[in-house]
Amino acid sequence: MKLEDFFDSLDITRTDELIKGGMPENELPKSAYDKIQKSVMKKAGISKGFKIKILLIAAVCASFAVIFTAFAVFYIKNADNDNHGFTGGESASETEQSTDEKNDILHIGDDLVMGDMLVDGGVLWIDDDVEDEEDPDGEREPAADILPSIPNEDVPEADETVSVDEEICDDTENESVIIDTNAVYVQYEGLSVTEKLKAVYSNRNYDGRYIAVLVKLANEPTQEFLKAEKKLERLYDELDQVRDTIERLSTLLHYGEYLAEYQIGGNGVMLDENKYQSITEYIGDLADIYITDGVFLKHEAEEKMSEYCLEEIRLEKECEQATLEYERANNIKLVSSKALTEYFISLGFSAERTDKNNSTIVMVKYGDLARIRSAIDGSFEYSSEEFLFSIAKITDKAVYSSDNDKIPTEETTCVSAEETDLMEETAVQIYEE
Amino acid sequence: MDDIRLLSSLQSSPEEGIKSLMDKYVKLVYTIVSARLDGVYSDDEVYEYVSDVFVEVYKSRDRIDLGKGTLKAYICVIAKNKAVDALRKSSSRVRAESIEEQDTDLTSSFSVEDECFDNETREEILYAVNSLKEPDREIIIRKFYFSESGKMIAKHLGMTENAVNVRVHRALKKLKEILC
Repeated sequence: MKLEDFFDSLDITRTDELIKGGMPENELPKSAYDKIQKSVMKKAGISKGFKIKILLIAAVCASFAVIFTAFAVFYIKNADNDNHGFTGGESASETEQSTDEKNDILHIGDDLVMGDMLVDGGVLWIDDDVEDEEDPDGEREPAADILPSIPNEDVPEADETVSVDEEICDDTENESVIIDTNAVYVQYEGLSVTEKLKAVYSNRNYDGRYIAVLVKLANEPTQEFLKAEKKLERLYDELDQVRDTIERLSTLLHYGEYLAEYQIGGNGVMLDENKYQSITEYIGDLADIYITDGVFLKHEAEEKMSEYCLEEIRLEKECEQATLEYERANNIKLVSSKALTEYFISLGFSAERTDKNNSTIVMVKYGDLARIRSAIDGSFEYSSEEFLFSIAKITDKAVYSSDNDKIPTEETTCVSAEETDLMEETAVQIYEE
Repeated sequence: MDDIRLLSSLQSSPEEGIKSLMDKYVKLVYTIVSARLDGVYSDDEVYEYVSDVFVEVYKSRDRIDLGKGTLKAYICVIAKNKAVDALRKSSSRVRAESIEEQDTDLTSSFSVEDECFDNETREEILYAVNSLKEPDREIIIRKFYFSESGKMIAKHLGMTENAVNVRVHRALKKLKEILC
C-alpha cells in the first residue's frame, strides 16, 4: 500500500492526530473569500441579504397582485355596465360573458406583446387592430413554439394547438392528443432525404413532457457499418456498467466513512445494522463483495475503485476511437444514437434512448426544445445525404396514457419524408393503430 | 473560538457561526480542495466546492461528535471527500490521473507493505510523519494527503521541483526505516 492510500484511509480520529503537528495552508485572495462566503450563505439559506431579497420580491409580487385584482374588478364592473372598454368590433353580446370567459380574456392579455395592450381611462383592454410593432406581418414564431405550455382545459390555448379527432381520443378518457402544428416537424437545412423514414415510437410510459428526436439510417447498412456499430454499442454498454459500479462504489465509500460505528482492525469499519441495510439496498451485489459480516472492507473497495476508474478511462478512449471508426464507416460526423444521446446529455439535456428496428428515438424533455434547436443548428453538419435528422414535438399526451392498454404500439409507420407534416401524420397513424 | 463555541454558534446564530468557521478554516479547506482540483476546475468552480464543504459542515452541525475528533479533522475529511468526488465527476480526470501517475512513479518504490498496516503501525506512521522536520513534514502532507503535484509544492514553498523531489525521497526513506 502506498502512503497516499494510507492518508486517504484516515478516519476523523486519525486525521486529528495528523493535524496536531500542523497543516499547511495556502493564501486565499480576499475576493475569493468574499465569493465563497456569499455562496455559503446563499446555499445555506441564511443570508440576511438573501432573506431581504425574498421578502422584497414577495412584497412586490403581492403589490402587483393587488393592483391587478383591482384592475380586473374594475374592468368587470365596467363591462357589466357598458362596453366602453372594447374596440375592434366586439358586440354588446360579447360583453355578456360569464365571469370565467372574462377572466380568459385577461389571461390571454398576459401573453400579448407590447403594442397589444393599451390603457384607456384606467381600463385595460385589448385592441385587435393594433399592429405588433415588432412583427407587423405576423410571421413571428408563436411563443408556444419556443416554450410550449401545457394546454389547460379551463383556459383554452390559442389556435396554435389543435386537438386531434375526438374519435381518436374517445377511449383514452380525456387524455386527448394535442399536437402543436406550428412546430410538429422541423427539417434542418443541409439535411436531405434519400429514402423514406420509418418512424418508430416508443411504447414506454412517460409522465413528463418529451419531444422525440428521430435519427434514421436511410440506406441499407453496410457490413462495415454494422461492425462499427456493434463494437461501439458493446463498448458503451461496458462503459455504462463500469460507470454504474463506480457510482455505487462511490456511494459505498462516501457513506461508509460517515456511517461507521467504529473502526476495527486495520481494514474495515463496523456499520450500524439499520444503516447497513440502507446501504446494501442501494449498492446491490457490491454489498456481498465489500461488506462481510457487517464489516465494510474499505481498502478493498478503494483499491477496486481505482481499478474501475482506470477502466473507465480506458473504455472512454476506446469508445472515442470506435466512434471515429463508426463515423468513417458511414461518412458522417455523428449519427450513433448512443453518441447522440451522450451529446444531448453533454449539452445539459435529459435524454433517454431506445432502439427499435434500426431506428432510434432519443427522448428529451419537452421544455428543452428551443435550446436543443439552437444547439443542433450550429453543431450538426452532415456531409452525407444518407441520413435524415428530424425533430418532432409532441405533448406528453401523445405518448402517455394512464391506461397501459391504450399505449401506442411501437410498430412503425412509413411516411414520405418529403412531407412536411410527417410527424403529425405519424403520430395520428400510430394512435389509429 | 474553540470547537464547542463554534458549533454552538452555528446552531444559535448561523450567520455569525459560519463567518467564524470560515475565518478559521477557509484557508485550510481551500488548500485541500484546490490541491486536488487545480487545473481540473476553474477558480470559481473550486470556490464553489470550497463553499460546499462549509455548507455540509453547517448542515451536519447537529451530528458532529467532538468526542471522535476535532472540528478541524471533520472539516479536513469532508473537504477531502468533496475534492475526491469532484475529481471523479470531472471529465478532465484523465489529466489529473496522468499527473498522479507521473508522481507515483517516483513514490511507488517507497510504498509500505500492506501487512504493516495494523492499528499500531498506523499510529507509528502518524507519529513518524509528525516527527519529520519541516519542511519535510509539510512536503509529505502536501504530496500524500493533499495530493499536490511536485510542481505545486515547489511553488508554494519557494523551492525548485527537483529539490522537492529530493526531499520527498529522503523523507520516505526515513519513514520506511522507522516502520520496517
